Amino acid sequence: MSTRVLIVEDNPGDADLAKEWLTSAPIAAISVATVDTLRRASAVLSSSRFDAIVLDLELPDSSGLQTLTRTRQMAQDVPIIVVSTMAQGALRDELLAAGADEVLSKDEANSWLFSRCVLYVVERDRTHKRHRELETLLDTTPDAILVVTDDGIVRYVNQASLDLFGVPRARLMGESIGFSVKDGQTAEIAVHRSDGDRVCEMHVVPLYWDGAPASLASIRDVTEARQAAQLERRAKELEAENRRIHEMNRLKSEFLANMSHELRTPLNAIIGFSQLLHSGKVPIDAPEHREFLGDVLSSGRHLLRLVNDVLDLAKVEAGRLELNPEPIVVSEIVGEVVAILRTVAAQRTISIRTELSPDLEEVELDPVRLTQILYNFLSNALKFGTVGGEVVLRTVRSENGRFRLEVRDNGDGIAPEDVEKLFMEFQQVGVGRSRRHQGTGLGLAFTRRLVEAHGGTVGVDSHLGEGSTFYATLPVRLAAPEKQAQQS
Amino acid sequence: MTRKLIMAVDDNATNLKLVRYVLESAGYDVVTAEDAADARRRLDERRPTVVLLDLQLPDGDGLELARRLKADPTTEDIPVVAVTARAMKGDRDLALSAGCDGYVSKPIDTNEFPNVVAKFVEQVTNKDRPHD
Repeated sequence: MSTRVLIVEDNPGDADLAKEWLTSAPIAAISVATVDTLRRASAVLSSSRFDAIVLDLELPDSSGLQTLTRTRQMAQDVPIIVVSTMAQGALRDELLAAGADEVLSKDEANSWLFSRCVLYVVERDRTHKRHRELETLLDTTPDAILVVTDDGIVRYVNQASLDLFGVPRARLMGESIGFSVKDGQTAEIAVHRSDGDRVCEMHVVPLYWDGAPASLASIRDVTEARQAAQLERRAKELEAENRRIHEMNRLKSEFLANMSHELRTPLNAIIGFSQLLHSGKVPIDAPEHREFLGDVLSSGRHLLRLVNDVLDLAKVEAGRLELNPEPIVVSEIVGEVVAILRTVAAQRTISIRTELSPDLEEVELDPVRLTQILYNFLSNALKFGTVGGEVVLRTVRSENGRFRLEVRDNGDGIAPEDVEKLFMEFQQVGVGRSRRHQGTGLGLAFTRRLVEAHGGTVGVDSHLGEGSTFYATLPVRLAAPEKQAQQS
Repeated sequence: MTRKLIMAVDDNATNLKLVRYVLESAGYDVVTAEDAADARRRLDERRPTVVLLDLQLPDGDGLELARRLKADPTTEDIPVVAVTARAMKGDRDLALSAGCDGYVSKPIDTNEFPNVVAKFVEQVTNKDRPHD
C-alpha cells in the first residue's frame, strides 16, 4: 500500500520540487496530490484519505499559525509536516504545540532527507495509533491485568485493575503487590477494598517486562458470580426441602387416611355386631349369637394390635423407646415366636425352618424388641410366602461383634422400584395385597426403627418371582445398657 | 313377592358376614364377592338389584369397578352404593364422581342400613314399573 501525501503549497516551483523529492524516494512508494489553497485542501481532504499533509503556512487564503490550526481541524487524524521559512526557535515550538507533527525549513524540505522524514512521521503516527488501540483494549477488558516483576513490584496495571483495587494508578504502580503471584497457577484470592472484600480468580503466566523476568496476572472479579451460584444452590436446597416437606405431608395425610380406614374396618364389625346383639335381633339361643360375639372379640383384638402398633411407632419416632437389654438364649426366643405364628403358618400351609448359628447361643438385647423384630419379619414372610412353601429363619454371626438375622420366603418377590419404600413409614407396597392381609403398613417401618434403635441396619434382597430375604444386622451385645434410642 | 338380590363386595369376610346377616334379616337375598374379579363373575351369573361396593379391594380400586359397571350398558342401571371405611374428606365425592349412586361410611348403622338399601331397591322397582 502506497503512502498518500497531500502537498498544500501555492508556489508551483516549491510544490513540484516537494513532489519530486517524495515520488522519487527509493525506500517506499509515495503518491502525491497537490493543492494551492486551504479551501482546495479542505475539499480534497473531505473526499480522500491521506497519510500525511505537507503544509505551507503562507497561502493565498490563509497565513501563519492559523493555516495550521485550520488544517488540523479539517484532518484531525492525519500527521501534518509544516514547511516554513521560520522553522526555528519559538515559532517551531508553537507550531508543534498547535498540532504539527514535524516542522521543516524550506531548506530541509529541499533535500533527499525530506521523503524519509515524511515516511518517519507517517510511521510514528501509525505506531501511536496502534499503541492507543492496544491501550484501549487493555483498559476496556473487564479483567484486571497487572505485570509484577519477580521482586513483587507492579510495573503495569490496566483500568480494570484500578477499578478492582479501588486505588489510583500511582498507588499501585511501583508498589509491592499485597499477594503472592506464582506463575502457572490459578488461584482464588480475596481483594480487600473499603466497600468490602471481593472474591477473585487469578491466572498467572510468566513473561519478560523491560528485559526482566516478571509475571502477568489477570484477575477476574467473581464475587457476583459466586454469590449468584450460592444463591442458586440455596434456592435449590430450599426447593428440595420444600418438596421433602410436601412429600412428608402427603405421606402423613396418606397415613392418616390409611389409619382411618384400618380403624374403621374392625370398628364396623364391633359396632355392627354389638348393635345387632344389643337390639335383640339375634336370638340368644341362635348359633350366630355366640359366633357374632366371637367376631366382636377378634375384631376388638385386631383393633388393639393396631393401636399398639401405632403407639409403638409414635414412641420410636419421638425417640422415647426404652431398651432394656438382658441375656437372651437365641433358640428360646426364636422358639417362642415360631410357636406364636404356628397357627398362621398352618393356615397357609407354610413350614417354618430355623437355621441357628451354633456360635451364637446367647445375645444381650432387649427381649421384647427382639421378639417384635422376629415376629414382624416372620409374620411378613408368612403373609407373602407362597402357600405350601417354606420360610427359613437364619442367624449368622459376623465380625465386629454383630450378627445377621435373616428371614427368607419363597413368595413373589418385590419389584425393584418398591424395595426402597418397604421400610419407610406411611408407605405400603402393593396396597391391594396388604389389605388382604389386614396390614397397617407399619410393620416393616417399625421393625426398621427397632433395629436402628439397637444400632443395627435392615435390608432386603429380593427378585421378582424368586422370593425375598429380609435381614437385620444387630449387635450381639447392646453397647449402652439404657435408653439408647433417646439419642437417635 | 320374590326376594331382591343384593350383591356385597368386600375383602373383609367379617364385614361381609355382618352385611349378609343384616340384609337377609331384612328380607333380601345376598350374594358376596371378595374382590372385583369375583364380583364381575357373579354379576354374569345373576343380576343383583343393588351392588354394595367396598372401595379398597385386593385386586385394585373399587372405584374402577364402579366405573366399569356404569360404563357397561348391561349393568349401568344397577345402583352401586359405596360402603367403605374410606371416610376422609373428599372420599364421598370421589365415590360419587366414579359413578356410585350412594355412599355409606363404615362403621355402618345396622338399624339404618336396610333402609338405605331399600331406598335404592325402590328406585329400581319404580323405574321398572310401566307408567300409567
